[in-house]
Amino acid sequence: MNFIKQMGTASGLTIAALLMLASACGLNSAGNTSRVFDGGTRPGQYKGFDSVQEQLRQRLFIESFQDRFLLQLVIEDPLGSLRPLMGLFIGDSGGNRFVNGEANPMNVLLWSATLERLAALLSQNCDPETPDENSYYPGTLLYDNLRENIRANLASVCERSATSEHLSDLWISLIGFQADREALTAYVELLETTQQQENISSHDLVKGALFSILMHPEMLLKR
Amino acid sequence: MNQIAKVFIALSLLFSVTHQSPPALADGSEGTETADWDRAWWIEKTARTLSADTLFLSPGEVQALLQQSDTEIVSQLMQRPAFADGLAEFFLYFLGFKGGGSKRYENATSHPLSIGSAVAVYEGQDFFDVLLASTSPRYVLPLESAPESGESHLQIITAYQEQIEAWRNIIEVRGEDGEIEHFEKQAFCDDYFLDFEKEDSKSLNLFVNVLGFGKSRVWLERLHSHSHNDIVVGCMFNWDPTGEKTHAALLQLQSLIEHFASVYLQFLPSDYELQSVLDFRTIPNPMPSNQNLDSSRLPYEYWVKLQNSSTNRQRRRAAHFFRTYLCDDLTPIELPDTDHGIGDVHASQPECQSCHYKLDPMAGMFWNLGIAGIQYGTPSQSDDPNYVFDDGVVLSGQQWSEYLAPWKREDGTWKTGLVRSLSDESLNNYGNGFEDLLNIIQEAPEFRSCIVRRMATFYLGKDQTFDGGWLRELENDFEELPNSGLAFRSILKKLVTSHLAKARDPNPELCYDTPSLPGEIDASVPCRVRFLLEENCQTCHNKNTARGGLDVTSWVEAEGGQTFRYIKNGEQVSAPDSRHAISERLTTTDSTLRMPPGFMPDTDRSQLLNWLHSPSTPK
Repeated sequence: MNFIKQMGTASGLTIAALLMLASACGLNSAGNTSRVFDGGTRPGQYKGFDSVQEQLRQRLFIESFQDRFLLQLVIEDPLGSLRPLMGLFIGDSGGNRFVNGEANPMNVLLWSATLERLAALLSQNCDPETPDENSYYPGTLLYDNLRENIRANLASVCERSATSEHLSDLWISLIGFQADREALTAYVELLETTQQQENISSHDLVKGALFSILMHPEMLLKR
Repeated sequence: MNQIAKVFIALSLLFSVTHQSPPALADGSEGTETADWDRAWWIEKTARTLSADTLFLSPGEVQALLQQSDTEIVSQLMQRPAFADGLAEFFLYFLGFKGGGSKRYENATSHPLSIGSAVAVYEGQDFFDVLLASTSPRYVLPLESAPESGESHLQIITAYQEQIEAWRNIIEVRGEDGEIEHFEKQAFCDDYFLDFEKEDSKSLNLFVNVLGFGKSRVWLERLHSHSHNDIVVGCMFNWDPTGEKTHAALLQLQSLIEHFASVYLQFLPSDYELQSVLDFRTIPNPMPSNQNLDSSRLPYEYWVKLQNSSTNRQRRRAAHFFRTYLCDDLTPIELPDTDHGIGDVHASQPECQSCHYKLDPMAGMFWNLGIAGIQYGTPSQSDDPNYVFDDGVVLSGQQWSEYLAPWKREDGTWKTGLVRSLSDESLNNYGNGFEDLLNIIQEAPEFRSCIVRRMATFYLGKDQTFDGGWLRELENDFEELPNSGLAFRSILKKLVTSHLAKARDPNPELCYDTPSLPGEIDASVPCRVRFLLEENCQTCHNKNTARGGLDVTSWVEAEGGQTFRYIKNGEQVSAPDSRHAISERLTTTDSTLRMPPGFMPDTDRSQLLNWLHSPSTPK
């Protein structure tokens, strides 16, 4: 239940997440979002827990057993009670179906808090010698398992020396070419400026740099 | 609000304003960079599309592919094992089952036709035979996660392999007559109680979780094949290995051991990790003597969707086949009471006949498939089989003859099959039995159309409008290429390199790709309208059937302008009258007259009506 408690601190970020999701609707052509299609699916619905987990595993990490259950470990959900709330294929007597694919206040909150937590864990890579002992997924493990290019680019952000190439590589490594190019430009410019501000810690800088990518609609939502 | 939230919100807001020039993707001019970005976007999207969202290319891989042509890129992506996963997902979708997420492999093993077809297409082999098969090998999959006991997969598999080898030494059977040459009672009974009994849950878990068998199926097999009681009694008391009952039990046991061996000994002991459905292994029939447990038959999970009650008399199965393999959704016109059997007034009424004239003859193709698809008798041998429906009702004797009667002509021959027209027998394909049905479907043009249409919706978007002429043009590959697997791959290449596939935010109501030769009504009727007519009207109102005299696939000159072919009393109805008649059927609140019979979104209905009444519509 630590996870639920921590969600209280994420209220500001939740507003931002809602803003991002609202902008996701704008990505689709007019008329799309008001239509319901076969099976109740709708453009812009969540990709779902498994899909995002697999996407992050492939983008962020080298293959290891823990990586397969990345998000499950991050949200501390060993019983799997939270996953169905975040968009999941489930199978029971009612057959196999995708549940909670539409954005609602609960799954928006859960995604926001989960990815904020992942971003916070990854920010520990700024000082890998002091892992979070209380986490199922300590920072050292993240550091060891991170792909080489992610590790190098994160290090440059930690050191406030990230060039536009570093930031661009970080973005493309995580989200590929699916987002609009203008979004990458804005991201790079903002991070370049922000890393000059000394009142923002390295941890917060990395966390923000990653969280803003992780919460991008292209990461979470189906086209 | 903490610092990071401020950064994030600022970032969100910044995304909504005008942006400056983006950073370089590769060396070159600005124009080239933009083109490269769009192409990189398409490459990534195509990789995910082909793999059902399991293949994420690294930036380096995308850069490398940028230098190649579209078809080369797709060809390379089709060599990746993840492409086979995407194919398995497509065939699950085609067969009417849902995959996706962590359920993908589990569902695929329950519906082995999907894996078999995926592998065939991946290898460029014919897949029609696999997809339309009455039997299928059963596929097994390795562990996906470590067992809770902490043992590695390898440890478990290795332990079972060793145990199987030990069991093989306990019992030896010689010759085809099954003479037991060697049997170590003490060793066997110790093992049986120690390993089979005490580790039963572990063994069961392995079957269910590792091999993907349904639990009920596992128990059924185990109980049958062990001859459990006989073995327990034999081990506890004075067991005569030469006794008939004991002999049969031992033969069953020996068969089971060989079955286990056929499964476990397939697993390679090192570096075995599931990459895609290509890694699945097949297992042979564990109990060839027991027809009900024959693993080569379609699995129980397949027939769960095709339950046949004593009242629907195979119609549900026929409707499933129409819908699944021919894309023909036989939604009946809404009637106050549709629960009548064959021969009753319901099936003979004109509005009911719009569905039953083709539903009932196809239903007859399943006549001897009873509960869970179990076969009763053969097409040539249809006497008194004690037939059991899925609702438990049993037919025999006179009742059985009465059950068969509606599917037979007066001379005793069968009138079952794929009926397209009541007036032109040459358009119909008749046959008898499930095998015949599968062969008929395999040759049916509707089947090829259905595959292409499902491919388009699966790979390009369920909500998208497609030009029917373009899709029909794609179907030609099934005729022009050496086998159906190669045709599938060729069609898929065309789909993922189409204008639609390259459009970033396609409007679902527009057609992005058109045929090289326009069709009969293409110039006069907008693509969206043609699409809605194809989706909702064309099944009944086509050149062959033209229910009520209306054929929405033909565009003719009539009094007052051009319109669809609409023959009433032997004459073409005038353009204004035909439009009025169609409008009336689209808007009436009388459920027996309202068209289309199935569900149609109000927005689609409005679009049709708007076009019918639009001043720009040809008059």
